[in-house]
Amino acid sequence: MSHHLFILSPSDTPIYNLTYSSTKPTPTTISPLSSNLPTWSTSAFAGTLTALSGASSTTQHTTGGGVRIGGGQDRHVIQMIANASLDAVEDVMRKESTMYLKSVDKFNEWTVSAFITPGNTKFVLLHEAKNDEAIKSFFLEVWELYVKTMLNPFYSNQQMIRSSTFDTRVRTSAKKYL
Amino acid sequence: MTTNSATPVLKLSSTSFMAIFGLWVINKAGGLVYQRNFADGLAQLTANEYLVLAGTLHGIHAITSRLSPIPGQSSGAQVIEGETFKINVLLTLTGTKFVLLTSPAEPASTIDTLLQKIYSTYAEKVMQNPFHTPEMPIRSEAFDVSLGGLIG
Amino acid sequence: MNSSLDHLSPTTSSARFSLPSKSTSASRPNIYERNLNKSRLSEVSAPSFSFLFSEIVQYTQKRVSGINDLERRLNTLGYRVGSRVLEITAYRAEFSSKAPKREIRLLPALMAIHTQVWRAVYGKPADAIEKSVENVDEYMIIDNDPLIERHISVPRDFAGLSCSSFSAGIVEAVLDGLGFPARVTAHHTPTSTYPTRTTILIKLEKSVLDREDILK
Repeated sequence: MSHHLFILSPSDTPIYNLTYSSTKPTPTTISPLSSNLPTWSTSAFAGTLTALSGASSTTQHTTGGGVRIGGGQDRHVIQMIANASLDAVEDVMRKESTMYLKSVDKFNEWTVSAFITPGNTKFVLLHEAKNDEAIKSFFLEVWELYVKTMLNPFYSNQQMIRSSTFDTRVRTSAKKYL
Repeated sequence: MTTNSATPVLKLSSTSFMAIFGLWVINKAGGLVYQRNFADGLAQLTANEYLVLAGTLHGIHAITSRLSPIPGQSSGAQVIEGETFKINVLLTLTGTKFVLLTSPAEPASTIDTLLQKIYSTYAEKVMQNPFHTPEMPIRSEAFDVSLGGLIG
Repeated sequence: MNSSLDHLSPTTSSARFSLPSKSTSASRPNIYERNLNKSRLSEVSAPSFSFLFSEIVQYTQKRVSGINDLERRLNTLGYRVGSRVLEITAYRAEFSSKAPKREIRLLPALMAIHTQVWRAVYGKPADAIEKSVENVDEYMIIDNDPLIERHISVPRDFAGLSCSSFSAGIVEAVLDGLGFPARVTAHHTPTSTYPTRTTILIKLEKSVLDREDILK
């Protein structure tokens, strides 16, 4: 089960990303395709998207027996989902005052959760399983690491985060919670 | 060190008369960077005359500190006393001199405290002011106001 | 090129700038290992800050062509501070809470700047916050005795300069971060009791007011 974390600067430039494959078992309950799709999305559209993105859309056979279109494990698709979710995130963050916005968007098997820092930096996490509390704890640790990064006078919130310590620390947190 | 004032400006009836006449700040090169009168009682001089006097005092001060039997240890003249006034000098570690002109009756302890307060005001209002250039004449409104508060 | 760098290298540096040797810096904990709450109540000596700020102003002054330019640069420097202050104060306030919150309404955000941000940066809340009578998009934060200007005497030929442009930059960064873009400027507004009294004028962008109307 994989997770994708993107950190976006206040102007929505990606400044950090991480792909983490958890060793924890995938939950056995797999919801049917229809419920995984966002309301505006028809399966036909999802198929088009997969085709457009050039994903290696090997149709996956799920345990449920149904056929999943566009098993979005492809890098391009992941990025596209993350980017597309930003609109939803921005919509919610104007009304919701909590920093942690759980399940703001859904696309196929992916659920998108986000965390908005007070300075408007966005952490976007694509995940498959519902695991709200753990994700919140993960976000909080990433936030702490992010604040520490910000304290570096040579870093501005528009720059890529290149610190290897930051990367190691985020991976450690991911291992702990995801 | 005691000298006799050559031209007493004012005959003071009482020896207990207390006044702070003026303040000079002399930079480490002997230039007068600040001069202000607080009370009447001393002769009014022109700006140029003050500059010359400050330079002379700087020289005298250098001689007094050289005369000290322990070389390099002396802070030089601290008080130069006349009949009608005395000159009190505070030399800082950086070579800046604060010169306070007072009546002879002004107690030494008051003067010491006052000079220390002036020094600390200088450290704040002059040295921490970004628009002041070190060793150059002091033009700081905040310094003027604070000194007014200290000396009145 | 080489010779100009020579004086910066630790081996040839004079005793005036003592650089820590490698061994001590290695034993110092990395920022990522430090607790962000540890320094929450620690304070910085006011004179050393004053000297630093004085140098900042002098440094900036040498590189600008006029008062407006100087204020703009101080604002930019403050902005860099503000974006960090916002994150760290919010972190300290919200980290232990069950559901950390951001400020999404204007008035509480302004109050937070007046109280929390000022306290974090200057150790005391600002003295007043006012809404402009003439313009609906203008707010003012008033500091009767701004810490950073306490020892500054602006010379006559710089009339109109307010070094609190630095604070204005901090305010601008905080508002920007929270999603209330605004133009923030500092103005010297002395009274007889408070000769250094300064007004931080906040002019909000139209989008902010529109959004507030919707959220009402």
